[in-house]
Amino acid sequence: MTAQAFQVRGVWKRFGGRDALSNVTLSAPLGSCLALLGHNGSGKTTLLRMLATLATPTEGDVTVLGMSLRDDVRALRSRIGVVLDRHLLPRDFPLGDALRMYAGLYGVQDAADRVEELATRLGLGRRLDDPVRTFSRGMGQRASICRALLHDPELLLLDEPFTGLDARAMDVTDEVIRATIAAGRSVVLVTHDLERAARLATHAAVLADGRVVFQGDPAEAAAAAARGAA
Amino acid sequence: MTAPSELRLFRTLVAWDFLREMRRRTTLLSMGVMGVITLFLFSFAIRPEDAVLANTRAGILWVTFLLAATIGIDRAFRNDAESGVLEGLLLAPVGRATLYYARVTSTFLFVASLQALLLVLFLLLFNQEIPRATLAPMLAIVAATSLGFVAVGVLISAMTWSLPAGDVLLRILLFPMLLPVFNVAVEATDKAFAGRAPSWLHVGMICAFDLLFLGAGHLLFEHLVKDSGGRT
Ligand SMILES: Nc1ncnc2c1ncn2[C@@H]1O[C@H](COP(=O)(O)OP(=O)(O)OP(=O)(O)O)[C@@H](O)[C@H]1O
Ligand SMILES: [Mg+2]
Repeated sequence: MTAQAFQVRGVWKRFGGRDALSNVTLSAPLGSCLALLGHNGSGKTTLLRMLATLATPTEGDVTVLGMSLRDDVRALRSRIGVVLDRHLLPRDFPLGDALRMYAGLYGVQDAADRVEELATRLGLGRRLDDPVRTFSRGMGQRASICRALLHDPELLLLDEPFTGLDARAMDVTDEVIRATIAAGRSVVLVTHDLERAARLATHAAVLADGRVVFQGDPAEAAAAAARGAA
Repeated sequence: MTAPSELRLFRTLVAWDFLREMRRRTTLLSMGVMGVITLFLFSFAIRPEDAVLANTRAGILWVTFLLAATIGIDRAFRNDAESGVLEGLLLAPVGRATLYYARVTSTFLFVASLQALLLVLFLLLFNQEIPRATLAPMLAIVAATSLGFVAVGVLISAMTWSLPAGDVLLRILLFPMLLPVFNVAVEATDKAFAGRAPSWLHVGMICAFDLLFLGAGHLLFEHLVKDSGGRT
């Protein structure tokens, strides 16, 4: 058996009376990019947040990079990078300060250089001194991607990373994903951009109403998701 | 990449929390406004020359401290939780107890700074003096009691911030829990105003309260932030 980036077995997640995830069993090998597709409210974010250690399953087992979520996940957190729907940066701080502070928490060496390098890569090199609150939506998303990459994570969890990005920033994000896989690291990509998913991903799964309804080839999954969404 | 020690993370977090609050200013401002308004209202109700002041001054001071501190604790936590910074911190490889202690320390620092200002304003408004001999013990009592306030306040904020009317719930839960130590602090402060040192019993009770709530925070904070849900 090849080593897994993550493994989810019989997972349920209940909010109030509603099952956001029902008996989900899913895994992805190391070095893969798994596209997680499905209509609005199908449970993609819920699953991603679980992999990010921000939520715990109501029932079932989750293992990420070989570590169970039931164990002490502190060490695991330094190995994953997460992009959520918010950038998670303090609004009143200049971008550079905010990113350097996060870098400090991850023990990143030469944090200043790393921040500069990432910001430049994502086209924010000249905005490092501006408060995050002045950023446009797409700039906030770029900043969020910078934050997720600071500590060069082994597993990237991306929840709709392309939201608000212009064509150039999307291409940079594509490159980031490709480079991550090329380096033997793993990506979970939640997106509604089926065409991009089919292009970038090595594996795919489709969720519908909290259940995995398809698992396999990205191009077929995109077709399945398109049918499901229609 | 070497993992920073918990102590180093703690220092980084405290400095960062503190800086964030200073930049945002809303927390300090709302705390300050609440404290100053409370003191002014009391100063209209009870004149400096009133005989009754001798029996009520410690109470007035502590009601002011409590109201101002509660706003500060709630605001500081809510700001971070609502802006997503809390989530960013939860994603980082930092022990939950460290997050808790850092938050308590930074909140305590600005609550204590504000209390110092309010104390001066109180002395001026009510034309009071603290005897030199009891000034240090009194400040120690204020600091130790406030630490307990903050320790339990941060814990309850973590419990209530995402609930509807969470700030109201915070007060409903917090005030009864604080009542015993509040009484002790008022008594000790009253003695200090009269030039008598606080009794060891008072000091012991306040310290026990601090330890109890810091310990509860250490154990419970992790569980309160374990499943943030992401919807607020
Ligand atoms: N904290 C929460 N409290 C209550 N219900 C929740 C919570 N989080 C998710 N849900 C519910 O779980 C279901 C799945 O939500 P989720 O956010 O995972 O969907 P999604 O696939 O990411 O959708 P989208 O494509 O719109 O982002 C939805 O029905 C949602 O209402
Ligand atoms: Mg989602």
